[in-house]
Amino acid sequence: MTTLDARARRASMAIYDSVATASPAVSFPTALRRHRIAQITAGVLATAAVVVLIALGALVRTQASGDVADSVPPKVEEPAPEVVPPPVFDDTDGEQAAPDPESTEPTGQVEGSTDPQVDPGAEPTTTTTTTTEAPPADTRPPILTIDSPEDGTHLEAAEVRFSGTTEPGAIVAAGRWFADVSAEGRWSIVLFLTEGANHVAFVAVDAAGNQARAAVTVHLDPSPTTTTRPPKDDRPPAVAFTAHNVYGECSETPPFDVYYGTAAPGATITVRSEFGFGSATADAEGRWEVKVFFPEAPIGTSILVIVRDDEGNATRFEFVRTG
Amino acid sequence: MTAQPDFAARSAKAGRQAEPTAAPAPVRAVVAFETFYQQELKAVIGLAYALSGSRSAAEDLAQEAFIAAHKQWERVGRYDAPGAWVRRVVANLSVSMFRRAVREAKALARLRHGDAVLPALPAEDEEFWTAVRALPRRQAQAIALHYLEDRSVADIADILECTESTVKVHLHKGRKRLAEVLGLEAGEEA
Repeated sequence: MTTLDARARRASMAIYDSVATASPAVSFPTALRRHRIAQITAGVLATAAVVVLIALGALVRTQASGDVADSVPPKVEEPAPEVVPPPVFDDTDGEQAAPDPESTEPTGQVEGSTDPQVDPGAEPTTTTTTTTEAPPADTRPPILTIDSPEDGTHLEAAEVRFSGTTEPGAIVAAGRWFADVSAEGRWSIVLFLTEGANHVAFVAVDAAGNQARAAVTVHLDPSPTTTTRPPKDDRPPAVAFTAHNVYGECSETPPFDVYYGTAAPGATITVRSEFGFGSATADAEGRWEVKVFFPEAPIGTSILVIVRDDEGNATRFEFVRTG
Repeated sequence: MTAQPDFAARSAKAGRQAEPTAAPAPVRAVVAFETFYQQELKAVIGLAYALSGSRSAAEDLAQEAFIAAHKQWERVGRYDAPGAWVRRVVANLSVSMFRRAVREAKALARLRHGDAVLPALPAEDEEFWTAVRALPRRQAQAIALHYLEDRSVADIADILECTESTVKVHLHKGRKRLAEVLGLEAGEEA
């Protein structure tokens, strides 16, 4: 019968495989930006909900007072709850800051769109007086311009940095790729073009969820002397993570095994088990090797050894001390 | 034709020479948050996946834990094992039904914009983790850390902020229950 441990190891490996084969997780700045946008959006939605409830309550009260006319004494007006403006989070420490009063009209090539369900100018249909006023919802699309490269530009290098301007706090994306956006709203992103005409579309989304779109068409010209591959840079070549062991069992004292494989150049490889530990760094060609001792490993028992790189890729081995 | 492609990966790795050792090095370098994030992210996502069972929310749960660490990095970064702190946060977030549901809803909302989810597990492995998640909260956390991350009892005690004896009890009860539910031999003891 399968043991629980064997089943658990397979299931653990499946988790690692799943995580390793998934698309790369977002960078931390992007995650942080999304988190703040989610908080702001939640604040906006909460405010909108309060406004709707106040309007509905006022409408119900108005109708009720019309129905009963003078048959009941006038109801004492309850103070309306204060409407809190949506929080805006400071970029540096996540603390709440004062709302930014500035807003910018869309310009340039922007094709703006807004949520049609939001009507900031709507007044509650009631005669009841109230001192509470809903803050005007931000329904204006963010600015989005593409400053470089210009539309129709012919380029010779496939690797192109697109840059432009958007509303501070907005996110800018080209498909699934997110641009870096500065606190001042300057954004940039590096994309690789394919030969011929490339229609590159960007979308900007501000904190209120308004969107703006812009696009340029640029041409990557075939080079008569060079290929269209991106130019060489200083980045190390991509090397897939692999891991192997030499022995799997050992009767020496202390027992040991040798693990080797490939990984991204410079990557730190760690070998871990309950009874021994080792680490190595992949060389310029991506090769690594490490000898690990298991001095306390029990004789005749298979122990689990996990080899992992700093990208989270992992391979599991079993090791048995035989003497 | 639409621009295809590959966004430049920007990862710089510190160079260190191979240094085979027989035991864990007790010295811990103080790392920058970004480095810590890159090193731990996938493992923490794996833990979130195992404990939440949500392919879409696992990354969000992990990110939430890292954001919490980032806000307090001045303090957390000085810990002997900041990774243990993040794992404690993600383990608690992942077993919280309400927060998991909120995270999953947010993740699914974003999926409409093209984000990827983790690939599904084979049915047999999914059954195992479902059984783990059905355990009491602390047992599930201890079991996940034990099997998924191959953590020692001392490590698990550090992460869950309890005594080693308590961890041993959680592991014993959890393993016993899992063996019953899955119809397996209990195998070796932790």
